[in-house]
Amino acid sequence: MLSWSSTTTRRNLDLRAVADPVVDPGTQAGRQLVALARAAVGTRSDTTALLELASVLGLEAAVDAAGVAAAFEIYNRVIDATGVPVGKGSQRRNAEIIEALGLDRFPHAGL
Amino acid sequence: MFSTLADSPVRPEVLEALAGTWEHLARPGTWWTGAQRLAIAKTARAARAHRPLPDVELPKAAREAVAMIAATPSRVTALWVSGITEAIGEAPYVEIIGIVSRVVAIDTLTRLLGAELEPLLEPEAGQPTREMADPRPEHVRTFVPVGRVFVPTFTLSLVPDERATNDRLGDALYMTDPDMENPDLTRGTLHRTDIELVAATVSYENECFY
Repeated sequence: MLSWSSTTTRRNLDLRAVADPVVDPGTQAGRQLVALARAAVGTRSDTTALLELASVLGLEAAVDAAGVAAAFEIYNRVIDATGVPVGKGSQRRNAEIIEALGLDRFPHAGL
Repeated sequence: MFSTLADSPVRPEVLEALAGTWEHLARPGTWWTGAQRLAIAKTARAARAHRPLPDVELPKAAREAVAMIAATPSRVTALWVSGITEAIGEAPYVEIIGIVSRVVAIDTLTRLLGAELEPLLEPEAGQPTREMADPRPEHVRTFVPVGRVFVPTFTLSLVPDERATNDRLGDALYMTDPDMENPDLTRGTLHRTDIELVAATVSYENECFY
């Protein structure tokens, strides 16, 4: 979805930023969005990531982004706990991204 | 309910979905009572925060399932699921997935917004409905039957009430099906690419291959 949206709308996003904190995603607030997403998966109760994102995109957008992060705490769990695989066609189409981000080391890569 | 989020500009439809989810959690479900569902929620909270699990009245396999799904979902394997479902059944396991995923999501949102975790409600009395999915989803390749369409919304098809509840919350927090078709969607200053950057990073951090 990320690749599709960024390519279709010609936003030059560096996908490697998803996996590597050193890489700048290259979009406005990209670094702050990634930081918020990482904070979501942690356990600390801390508004630093939210406020840094809010300073660039505004508080409403930052709160919406927090909601998106929360939603993926749902989707990741329902997918992994039920063992839903990625279709072979989709894996072929995204082979470059899978390799670049090292996704094939994830436990469910072989499903 | 969720009054601690009143200081943040949370969209009304999100607040409504959060409140609806919380009330639903305390009601008798399809396979678990209200008290058991709250015990599942309490255990999920502790496991996700890496705290000791509370002493609650749940079968051992159910506690184990809650802890695994809350804390390390990418470590779930077919063999492990077959052990759990042998002990508690496939549909009760699917209901646990729904409860755990929503509690973790809501706690994540409140934590990111710097708010106190929402207190759990008192359980409502009553027995589980034991409603069966009709037609029952096919069992193709996955750990439990989800049908032939491998997308998140179908994962809980075995327990229709859980699927509907997860969909309502997901639609409010992420986007609806019609919005999914729009690569140029904007929500205020947030563009679809921004939304997907957050989604992809959370998935990466959770080691979710999907």
